[in-house]
Amino acid sequence: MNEKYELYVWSSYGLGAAVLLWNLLLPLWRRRALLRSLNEARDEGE
Amino acid sequence: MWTWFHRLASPPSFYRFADRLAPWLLGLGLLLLAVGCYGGLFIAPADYQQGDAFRVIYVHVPAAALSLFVYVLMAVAGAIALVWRMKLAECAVVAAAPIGASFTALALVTGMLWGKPTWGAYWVWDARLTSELVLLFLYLGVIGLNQAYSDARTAARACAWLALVGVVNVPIVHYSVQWWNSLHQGSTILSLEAVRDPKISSSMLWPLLLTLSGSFAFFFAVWLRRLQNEVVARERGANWVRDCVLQAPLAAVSNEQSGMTGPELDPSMQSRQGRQRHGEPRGAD
Amino acid sequence: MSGLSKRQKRMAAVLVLVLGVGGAAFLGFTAFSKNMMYFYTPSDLLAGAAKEGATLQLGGLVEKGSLRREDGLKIVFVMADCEKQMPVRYEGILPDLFREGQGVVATGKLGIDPVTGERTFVASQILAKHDENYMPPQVAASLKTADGKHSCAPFKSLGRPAENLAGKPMTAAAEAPRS
Repeated sequence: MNEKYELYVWSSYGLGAAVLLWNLLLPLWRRRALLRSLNEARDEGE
Repeated sequence: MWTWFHRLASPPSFYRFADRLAPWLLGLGLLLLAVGCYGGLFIAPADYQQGDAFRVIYVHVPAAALSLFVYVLMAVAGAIALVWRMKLAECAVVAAAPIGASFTALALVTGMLWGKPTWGAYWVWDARLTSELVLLFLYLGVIGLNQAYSDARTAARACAWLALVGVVNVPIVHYSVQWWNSLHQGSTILSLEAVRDPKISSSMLWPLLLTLSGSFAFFFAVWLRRLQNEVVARERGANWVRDCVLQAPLAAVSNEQSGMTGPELDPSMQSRQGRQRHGEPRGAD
Repeated sequence: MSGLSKRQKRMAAVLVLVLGVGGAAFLGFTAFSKNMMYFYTPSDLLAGAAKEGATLQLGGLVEKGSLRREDGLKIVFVMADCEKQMPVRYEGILPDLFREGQGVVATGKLGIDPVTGERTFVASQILAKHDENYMPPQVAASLKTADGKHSCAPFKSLGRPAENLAGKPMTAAAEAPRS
């Protein structure tokens, strides 16, 4: 690849990967937090 | 058809449906994206004028297409939520906004990274760039509105109104390059004329079609996951959450017990959810 | 409205909102279409659409055979839309895509050329406006009009909607009627 454009192109793909990762991980973390709080609520109830 | 639709719209069956579908969509999406990016970076030939700088297209175009598509989806879900008071549609509005915002931001930033080497400037205030920036603010507005209310249903309805008001911006973004003079070029693939007379060589087109379809599959996968979270957070007191979310996720299929009996929610349920939501720490989304 | 159910009323509210906002946007953007234009075209400037001495953007194709490099970074060229032409004078760094036949957008002021005494656009910045066509160099080379196939159609003059250009030659300004 032409060196002149390398930085622009690779940072675009890098940012794209970062956005994918963010979209992938955030729901997983939210789900984990939700399940934890639900489990706690159930344990208290029993 | 309608019975199928109603069953799918009930939280427990939606939850299981999403559980089955999301992994496939995610796998397919990531595969298409990986092949498409490899093709875009290493196989597609350089452009006759822009050289290698044009390779940004394989990230920028799918992000920009998603930014518009997700907003329309959000507005349609918003209309359903407002007219039929369907809870799943309310969740759909709230779940789509952060994903749409992230892809809009990506479209803007990759556009800047493309603009500098080709145009000679990162940013200009032409109609396309400005309206896309307005789109980002609309998404941020929906996210902000959702966090501003303590009651989930009130918040979702406020978001739905804003989504509907803002949907007028979507055709403006898309047609800005046709209606007005802009620095941004016209549509390469997403226009009728381009279908009749292709504006991009097939050796450069195929990776773009892969990253486009991959991005859409990826979007639906993460949207379903966010929807699941949203549904569970609202239905946390319901039996089906205890049965199928906490214990065996796929076991209790036959036992259809939902906190929701119809589109209209009974008031006791609503106030309970309001309290629960109030106590629940809101995530960064 | 009393005959309508609650749901129908909500549906009406949603429709009224979307159509209302859409209609307002349509009226607003039709009335202020001029303000949505990122640049003027040579035809606009020659028709006196812009105030003399104001800083503005001018867009068009770099007329083939018109580019002349003077000492240092100084250049002179002619910018053309589908109908009219305007000489441009510029000193500074050019984008990689700047070349004859290419679409460009210049920021600057309309003035008088000190050398020729003609009305000239004195640019302080030049950006390249690439088009929607992508192809490998081999394919471009096989086209007879490799550099000249940039269309003048994207350069829309005020009061002249894009549709009116459909009948115009879709090739470079070199083939467009001269003023």
